[in-house]
Amino acid sequence: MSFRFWRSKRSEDLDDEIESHLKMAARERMERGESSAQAEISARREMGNIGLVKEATRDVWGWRWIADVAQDMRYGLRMLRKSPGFTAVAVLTLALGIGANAAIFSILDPLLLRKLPVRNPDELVLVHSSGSMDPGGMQSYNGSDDTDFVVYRDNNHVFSGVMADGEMQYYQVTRDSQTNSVRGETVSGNFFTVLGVHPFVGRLFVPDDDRDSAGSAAVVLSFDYWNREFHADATVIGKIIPIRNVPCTIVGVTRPEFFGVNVGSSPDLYLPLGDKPHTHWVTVFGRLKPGVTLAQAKPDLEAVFQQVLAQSSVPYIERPGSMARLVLTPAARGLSDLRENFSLPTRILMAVVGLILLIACSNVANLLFARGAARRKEITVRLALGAGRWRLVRQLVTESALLALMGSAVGLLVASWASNLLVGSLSTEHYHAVLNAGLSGRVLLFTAAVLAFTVLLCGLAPALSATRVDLSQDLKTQTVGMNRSVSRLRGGTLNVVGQVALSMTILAGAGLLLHSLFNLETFDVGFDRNDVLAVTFNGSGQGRTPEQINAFYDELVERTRNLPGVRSASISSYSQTTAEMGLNVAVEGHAPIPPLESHVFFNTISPRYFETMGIPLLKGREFTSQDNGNTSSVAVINRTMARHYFGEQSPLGRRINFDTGRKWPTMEIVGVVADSKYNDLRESATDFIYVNRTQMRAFHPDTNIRGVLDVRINGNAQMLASPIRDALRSLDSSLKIMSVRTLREIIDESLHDDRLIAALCGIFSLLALVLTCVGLYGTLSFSVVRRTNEIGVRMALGARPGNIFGLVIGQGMRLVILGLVIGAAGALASASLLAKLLFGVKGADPVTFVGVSVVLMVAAIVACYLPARRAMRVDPMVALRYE
Amino acid sequence: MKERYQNQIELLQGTLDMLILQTLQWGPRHGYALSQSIRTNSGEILKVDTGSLYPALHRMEKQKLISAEWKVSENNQRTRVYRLTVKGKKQLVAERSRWSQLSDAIAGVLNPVKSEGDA
Repeated sequence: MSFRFWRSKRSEDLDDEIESHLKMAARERMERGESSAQAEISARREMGNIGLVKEATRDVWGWRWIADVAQDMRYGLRMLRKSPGFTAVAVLTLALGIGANAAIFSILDPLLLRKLPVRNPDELVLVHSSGSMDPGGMQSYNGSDDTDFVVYRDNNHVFSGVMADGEMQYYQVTRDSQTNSVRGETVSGNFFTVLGVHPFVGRLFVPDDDRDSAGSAAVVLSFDYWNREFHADATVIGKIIPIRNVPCTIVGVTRPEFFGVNVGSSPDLYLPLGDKPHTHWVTVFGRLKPGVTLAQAKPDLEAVFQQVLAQSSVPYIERPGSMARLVLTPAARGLSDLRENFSLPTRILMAVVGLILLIACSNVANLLFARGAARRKEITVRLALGAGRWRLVRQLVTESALLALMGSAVGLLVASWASNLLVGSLSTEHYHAVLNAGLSGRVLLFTAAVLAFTVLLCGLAPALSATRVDLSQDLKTQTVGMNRSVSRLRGGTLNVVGQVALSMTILAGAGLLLHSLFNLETFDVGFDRNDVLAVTFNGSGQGRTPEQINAFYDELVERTRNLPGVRSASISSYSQTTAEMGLNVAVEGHAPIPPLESHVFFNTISPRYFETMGIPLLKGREFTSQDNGNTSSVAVINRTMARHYFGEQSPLGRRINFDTGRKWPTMEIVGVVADSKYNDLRESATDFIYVNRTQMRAFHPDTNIRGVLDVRINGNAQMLASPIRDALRSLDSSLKIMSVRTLREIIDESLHDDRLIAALCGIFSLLALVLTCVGLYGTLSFSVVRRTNEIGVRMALGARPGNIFGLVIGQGMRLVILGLVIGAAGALASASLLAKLLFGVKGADPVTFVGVSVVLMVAAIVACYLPARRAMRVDPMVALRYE
Repeated sequence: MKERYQNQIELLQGTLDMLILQTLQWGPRHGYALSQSIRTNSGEILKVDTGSLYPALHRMEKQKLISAEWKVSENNQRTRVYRLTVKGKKQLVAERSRWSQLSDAIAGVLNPVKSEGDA
């Protein structure tokens, strides 16, 4: 304010000074005999361009740019207010482009870039082991035992501290006679000190907390949980809450920004690991002593790793698979399952929104080009009056900067909403994603950079073009300059081709993902995913003899079968969608093979299981009720296993045994069933063996009643859920029913990530398509306005409306097809990036490419239609008078 | 844009500053009087363009070589009058000596003295 005041005061002074100069010059001329009017004119002429003299003088005051910027802003705002339609479209377009970028970056940054909020995160190292069982390419953290952790902690010479992070589990917490399930993480007593984090209130763990004292333990609450459940009441420190029925003393609360070491999840509370050996699987982290590099630390830790192996509880047979060698990984960014799953998709999405920003910028640039053309007269006059070209360019760029600024403001609003939505959609029923997304300072900084880029991209070229005028020519032209229109039009058409190409690339990518998702959803998983309900139950069999337990299962299946709408029912230990248990097998008459290759997954099932699941029986027979503890043990294997061991020979009648220390009967193979997917739809076929439940229990009696009741149904699954629950309860009211879900629901959850990524890419591709159509529409409309005169002449010379319509559509579609070809080439080139996410689709999938081309063409025709119709309706009389 | 406002006879870089300082030595003057003095004293050869004069005056004021104040002239005309500061006087001495060195040197080049070496 004071600056502006000072500035205007000096400007007035300068006006006075120049005025006095002119007066004195005029007076002197009058004294020499000129008339007063003549003298004044001569004095002015002598001085030249008064405005420019003043401006040149004001220049030397310095700080001119501030005044100029302020003036430009005022002027720019006035111009934008004058054309609200243009402003709205431009701001909205930029808001979508910038907002999408800010939103994706707000996820990408905490997930992939940000370091843990702990002291010197770069010193942290993840200490783990790996072996041949690791899935290729994936980072895996083969858990260490808690005793391994102690060995690492006490025997290394390179870490200033070693701590352990246990698994996240659900704990029952009782408060005010209400029991809630909360997420808790067990951590070593030195967890917080090694990380170098401080409490918000109270204290964090100390090594002594690991000492189990008479069934009581300390607990540290997360800030969020404390805030949510205890209303940020600092007096809860010292209080005792029962966790899993163990009284725990609340000792402190972590700081708000601290979320542990797992990016993407955040425990509600931390519990001490305790000192009972072999009770927890943990992840071990070390903090390097200052100045020690990872390479320097390696030899020392290799020696410690040998000590770890010497005491490890992992059987030797398993070691080549998981403990073959020590792996040290820098852990400044912590661990993250979420990162593993979403690293590639997030990068792809970032690239996609980058392309969308390009499309948005090119749209706004188009609008600005058109505006520049409309303002040609004004600009020409200003240049003729002596305005500097750079000054005008600056003013026009300021206008685009204002647009971009408003776009960013709206975009950030969109982003903050979208960011929350995105984090929310990362969670599933069984995975709660917690990510410090939202609009952090880093996101704002990123947005500022995007904004600057946007201004350069969409503001500079139109400003340069608008001010490139030929004074003598353009002053004479009365309307929207016909001259030079060719080159300017070319700019617009180039933009359209570019936009179509970018859209095509994004659309093709989204199309491939959608096609892949469709494949995943309709893929033959080897069983019937639609009509099978999996009911997981768990209870105690206490007080029952093994015979009674068997009778219980038989009764359960019988009752379920008799429910209306049920076609068949069976019981298995695990759901068909989770291959949990694996063992090594030995086949009689087959040369011994290494343990890793003789690994099979297995499930124990009751009769009519395959019928219930809809798994085709290829050879032999299913289990029947005649297979029981008194008859010889039988097994069914899948096709892959049959091929693996028996090639083209029939496996029926061959004998097989589990290669474990435990006593197990030799089983006769009585059937071969088709392969199915067990864990993950993307897994390759693996060996699988089905064992008879009744026979297995005869060898390994289970005192608990637990398993999965598989029910094949007719019609609505939800309708049957409650009768089945009732049937279970009526048999044993103490039975816990964990879940009642169709296999489709279970599989769908495993497809959650695929669906999310496909949906996001789909939404973004739609956005790209809309922006492109708007751009196409704008360019063609502008071209029709420019060619009004020409169209009039054509019509006067006998062109029919249909010809004109075809002319405009043809002009548009030529550009679209050119862009389409370029975009398809771009999509083909970048499809390899998607390869890892695709299922059953190749990068160069003709169906997808043709499909999205058609979508794009149809949308483009719609965009061309309106301008073409307008051109068709041009009245030749009006048009000819138009210039 | 600025090149359009250079003088008809191009003044060497910094010359205008020296001329202004020199002219102000005779006493405080306003802008118009300054330009007239320079013109008359140069025998109507040096025309100082207002587009160069005022920026120069304001710049020199900022550099504290001259100071300015508002005065009312004999015709009851409010004018801005410039005067030399101490710093400006020192600057004038320095510029004059630099100028005379320069003009001697140029004169030497233009009118070489026929000397011993020439045969």
